Amino acid sequence: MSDPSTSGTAVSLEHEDLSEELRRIWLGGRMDMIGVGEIELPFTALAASRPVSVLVDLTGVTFLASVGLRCIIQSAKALDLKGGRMALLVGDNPLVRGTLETVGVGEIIPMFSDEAAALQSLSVPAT
Amino acid sequence: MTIAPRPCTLSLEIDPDPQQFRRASGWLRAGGLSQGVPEEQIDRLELCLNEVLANLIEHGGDAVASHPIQLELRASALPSGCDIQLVVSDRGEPFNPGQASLRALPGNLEQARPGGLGLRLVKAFSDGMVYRVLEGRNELTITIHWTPRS
Repeated sequence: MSDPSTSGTAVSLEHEDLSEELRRIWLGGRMDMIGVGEIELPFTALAASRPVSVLVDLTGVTFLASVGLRCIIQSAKALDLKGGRMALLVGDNPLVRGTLETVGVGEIIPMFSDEAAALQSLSVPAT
Repeated sequence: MTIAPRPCTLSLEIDPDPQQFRRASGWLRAGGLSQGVPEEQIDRLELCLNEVLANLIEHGGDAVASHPIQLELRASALPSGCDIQLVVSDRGEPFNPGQASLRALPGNLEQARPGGLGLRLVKAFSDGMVYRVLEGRNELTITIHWTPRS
């Protein structure tokens, strides 16, 4: 992992609408207090403004603190209330994966390491 | 193969400002590496550091804002393995995280409530926490332990 005081600190947020009903959001970089402060509002607007399916791609996240978890969970809740749903795509960063698993995020938001499986989970209407 | 850390103590003083947290993270990473601490152990400690500092800002009260936060990093090699300890000293509201109980994990999104995640992470990612009040300051020592591979 890079030295956060000198590099690798930028947080990034991008999105693409894969269809009318499916949006993919890429989060990247360092999701600490500063990073989350930079993306929280636009992320919530992208993730929870319409009742669609949203895949949040965390494979580019290098550091995930509880403030980042809170941001993701609150957006998932807001999306759920609107009738949409969220899934998470997680990469092979053991710290990020460990953080998500420690607080049981996978129990409340479907979490995948396989992109095709994540997209498929969102393409099937919930029963 | 990893080697035992070189015994050493490093210190840093930061303002209680989120902008300073990355400086603290950089200091911890550089200090840990210079002492021969494996990167995966530094990762664990860095997460703990960020959670403790965030908790101070959010819950430490007004007194936190007007006094610097002191950090100390100590690595040591013991017969039973290796330790790195992070000491966080502040003037905020007294709070012993070791005695705080964890909220039950939610079973679904509806049950999910903000808060409590940071403490759960620190407890899960550290191998020990000792809290005391010393000369009017809270002092929390977080220990990460590992066994060097030969």
